Amino acid sequence: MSQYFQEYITVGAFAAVGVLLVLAILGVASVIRPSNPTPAKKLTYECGVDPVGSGWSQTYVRYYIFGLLFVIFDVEAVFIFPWAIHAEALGIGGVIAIVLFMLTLVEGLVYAIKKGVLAWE
Amino acid sequence: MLTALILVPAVAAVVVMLLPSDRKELALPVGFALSFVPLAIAGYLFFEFETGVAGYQFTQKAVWYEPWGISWNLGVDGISLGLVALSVILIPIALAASTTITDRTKEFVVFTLLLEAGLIGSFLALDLFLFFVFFEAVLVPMYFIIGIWGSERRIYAAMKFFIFTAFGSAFLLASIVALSVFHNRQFGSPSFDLLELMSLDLTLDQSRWLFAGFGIAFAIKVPVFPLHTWLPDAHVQAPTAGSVLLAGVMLKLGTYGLLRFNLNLFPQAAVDAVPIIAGLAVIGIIYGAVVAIVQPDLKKLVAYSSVSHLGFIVLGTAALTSAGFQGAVIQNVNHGLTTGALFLLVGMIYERRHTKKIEDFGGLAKVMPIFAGLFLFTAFASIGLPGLNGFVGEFLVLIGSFPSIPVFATIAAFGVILAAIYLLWAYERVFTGIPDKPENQKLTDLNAREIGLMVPLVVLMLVLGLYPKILLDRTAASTEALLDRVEQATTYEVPEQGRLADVFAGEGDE
Amino acid sequence: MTFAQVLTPPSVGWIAIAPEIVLGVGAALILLFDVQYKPKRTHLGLATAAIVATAFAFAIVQYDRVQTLSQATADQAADFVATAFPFDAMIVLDANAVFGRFAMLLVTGLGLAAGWRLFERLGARAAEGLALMLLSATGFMFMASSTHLMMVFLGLEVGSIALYVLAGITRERTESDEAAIKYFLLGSVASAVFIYGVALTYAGSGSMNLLEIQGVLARNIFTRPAVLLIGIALMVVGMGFKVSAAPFHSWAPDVYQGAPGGIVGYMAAAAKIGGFAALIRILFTAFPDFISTWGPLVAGIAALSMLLGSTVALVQDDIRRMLGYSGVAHAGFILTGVVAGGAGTGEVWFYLGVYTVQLVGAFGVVAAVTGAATSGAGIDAFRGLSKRAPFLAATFTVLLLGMAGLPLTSGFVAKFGVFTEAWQAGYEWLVIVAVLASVIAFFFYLRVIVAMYMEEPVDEAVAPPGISVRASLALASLITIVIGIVPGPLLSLAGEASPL
Repeated sequence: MSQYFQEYITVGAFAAVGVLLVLAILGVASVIRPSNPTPAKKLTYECGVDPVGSGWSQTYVRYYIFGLLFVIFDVEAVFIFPWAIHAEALGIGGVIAIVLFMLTLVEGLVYAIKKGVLAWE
Repeated sequence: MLTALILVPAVAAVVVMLLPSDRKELALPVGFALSFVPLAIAGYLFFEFETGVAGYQFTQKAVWYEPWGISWNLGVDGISLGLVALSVILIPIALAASTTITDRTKEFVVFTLLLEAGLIGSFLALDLFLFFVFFEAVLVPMYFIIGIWGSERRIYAAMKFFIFTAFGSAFLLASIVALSVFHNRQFGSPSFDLLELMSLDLTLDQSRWLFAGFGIAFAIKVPVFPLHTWLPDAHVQAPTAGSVLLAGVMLKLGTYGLLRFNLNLFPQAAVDAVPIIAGLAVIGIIYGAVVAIVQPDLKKLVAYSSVSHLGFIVLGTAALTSAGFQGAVIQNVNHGLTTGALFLLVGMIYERRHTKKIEDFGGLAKVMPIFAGLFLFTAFASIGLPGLNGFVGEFLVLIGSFPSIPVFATIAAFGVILAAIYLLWAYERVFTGIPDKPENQKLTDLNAREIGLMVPLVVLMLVLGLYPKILLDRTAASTEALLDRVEQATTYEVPEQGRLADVFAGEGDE
Repeated sequence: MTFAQVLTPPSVGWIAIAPEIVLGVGAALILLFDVQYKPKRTHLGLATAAIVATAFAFAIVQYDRVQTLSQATADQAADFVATAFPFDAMIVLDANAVFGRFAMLLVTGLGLAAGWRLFERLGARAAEGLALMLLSATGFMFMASSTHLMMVFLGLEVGSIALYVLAGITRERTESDEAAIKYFLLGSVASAVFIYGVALTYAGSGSMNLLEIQGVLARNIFTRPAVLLIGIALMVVGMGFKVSAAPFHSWAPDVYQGAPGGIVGYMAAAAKIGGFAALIRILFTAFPDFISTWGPLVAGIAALSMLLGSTVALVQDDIRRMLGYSGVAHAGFILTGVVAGGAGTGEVWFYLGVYTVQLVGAFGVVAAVTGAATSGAGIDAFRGLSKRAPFLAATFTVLLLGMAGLPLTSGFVAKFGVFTEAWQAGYEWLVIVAVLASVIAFFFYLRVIVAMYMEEPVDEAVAPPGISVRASLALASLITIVIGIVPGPLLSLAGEASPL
């Protein structure tokens, strides 16, 4: 068997352990926990909007902008982590670059605040 | 000198454009006065032109854009000289004939002057790129002249005129592009210089395709049957000045192009194509004349007579003899004078009666004797009565084509008879008899301005009819050179009686 | 690595992206200033113009730098590489990039002036519109100056997304929203196709750097030609979308019709410049040896674009849709020059430069006649325009004749150039198709001129255009005529613009 496939054995082992772990935890829990179901508990989600009726329900549009702002800063982390790992090797140039990147995002945030996006009257 | 000839009308157009817009009445006189400058320059050229010299004279050359090999390259020879003269003569006349245009006069004068610049430029250009630029550029002013100041169906006519010509130009453009590319492949640099392109080594196939490309463009412009259908529409709808310039000068771009470019650049293809060209020319002669006979509309009659007359020019070109070429060149000028005059006359009667229908007239000779006289004179010139200019051209074309293409020449000769029929019959219906319609009885004869318009044309018709030497001397060397070019580059041999010397040896003084 | 070394900033070729920096920072500043100080809209407009002018000045500095670089001797090779290929060779400073900036900035300036009435109508959103305009210009300029497919894609997205928003910026109008959605959906598909092409190219050649790709292919060590060829084809298709070449053109007429009048000209022109700049860069830099493969593909797209664009434009009753389809035809004409390969770069750039100026001018007239913030422009609104608004009619005529390619206008020289190159490259049939298509095209350009000059006027009065509109239209027509008569300088400038 080639080296190439041997490496996949590791992956397979990890996958198997993962599945076993989940099964074990859920199994143990089902044995030892008290069982007292109510209709509210049987819903798919226990909080948020009731998943009943037409799917064409209206959502407050403001959520959308919050969502956008959230995603932007979420994604920011994705870009910062790789830089952080190599921060030393990239030197001052890397610092400048990441600061510029963050400033751009901050500018967007400042603009959004000034526009009154975050004010919830 | 030649540059000035092109630039002066363009500058004049700008001057007229800049005239204050609240002094509308100034535009026409100023434009008219300025149009005498090119006339003077051209007159100087005409008499300074050295006879007996075959090459281009007064040449000027300035590089336009080196890497493409395009240049501002001008020159005049016997073939183009007459056409340049014709252009500068007809422009002031056309302007002076346009006093009835009251709507947007300024624009009209501007477009007419731009047209003049474009026409002269086309005749003088020795660079194919430059030629194409002018050839296309004349479309725009004429398009506006027909479309804005024409009669009821002017938009249709203007569109048809533009699209037909642009369609032909597309082939011309592709062929010019091809020529420059071939030059680039053979000599390492692109060139549009006519003289340099003449030394290209083309295969027979190449030169046939390119001949066809050039030929279609010029055939539409002439127009050669069956591509002529735009012409009657354009003529009938155009204002008088538009018709005069269209028939007088613009159509000559086609016949000029055939002589200048098709024969010079693709001699072998031209020799091979003689039966086709001559055949179409003869069909045009007969067809145009026959259709002209039955036209109920005077202007349309003149338009179809143009198709017929231009057939003679194309026939002369296809004859590939000195006399044929001479005839074609002379007939270019003659047709411009006579047909221009006929359109002017039709315009004058239309302004009085607002109809061009032959049946609406009758007996006009009684009420408008001067008008009738001028019309008859011009009609005789157009038919080719000896002593008037039309005779010289058509006679030369016929004797030029008998040695080389006798059958076509024989048929074409009937065209002369048909011309007599349609013009004289039209004259009879319009002018003779008694003026029985009440509208016709009150018509006034021509005024001084209108007579003044006709005088230069009539004089020129007489001069060219009685003393054609003035023009023939100047064209002879160039047409001989063209014939030499065709003979040397091909297997074609000029038939006996095909050379100038032969023709005039037997003819004596004309 | 010592501490001092760490603290020394690397010397990067800032000059190579100076115009982009100016535009990007300018856009940010405009937004921030607007929310903080609420300046007058006129001042915002002037500030935007100043930003564009500054960027243009930097582009001129770059041009000078490129001139110096082109005379670099062998012992300056290291210097040359550092200056010409900064940012790890992701950006290139060459004449191609600089000419792209010239064209882009000229179009931005003209578009701003010609569509100024739109920004006045936008009210509080004017700053957003201006910033988006600057940002899209930044993106498209990056497309012209990247040597890395990832950078090309980033530029594409920055430019396109800003345009999607601009198409819908008059959001209270349904037509504008519809145009924005259409543009967004179809544009996203195009981007996806393009990025898939990039992925396949990477799979086939092992690099996304155009110069490296060329090097790899030249050494003939690539192993998966099929993958690579599909990659090239997909990238061509993606860019074909952006420049609205048939059969990927369907968005163009709808978007041109629905988007606010004041911005359409800029939108159309900018997308064309960006798309063609990237196409030239990719095809000529990375795949010059594959010309026999992509040449026929590009030629086919060109022929289809010219014929379809010209014929469908004939039956349009809306001037904006008509210009949209004519834009399809023009994409075909430009592609006619692209098939000639590197030899045709100058002619392609020349065409692109003069056509986009005409396009912005023509849409400027349309906006002045039928409204800068509205959709649609029926041909009836142009009846008798020569009597109601002689200046607009005259400039429109010049620009339309320029687009039609009549001699003595820049459009003729442009057409002549690409035709010659295509014929030289052996695509005779394509030239024949092209000249026929340009004759068909005469019909619909003339229709507008007929309506303006030969038909009786309608009653609607045309509001006199503002000074900025008049200036930009006069400039566009003047460029069209002057370049038509004296094409030499611009032709030689464009002729230098081949990619490194």
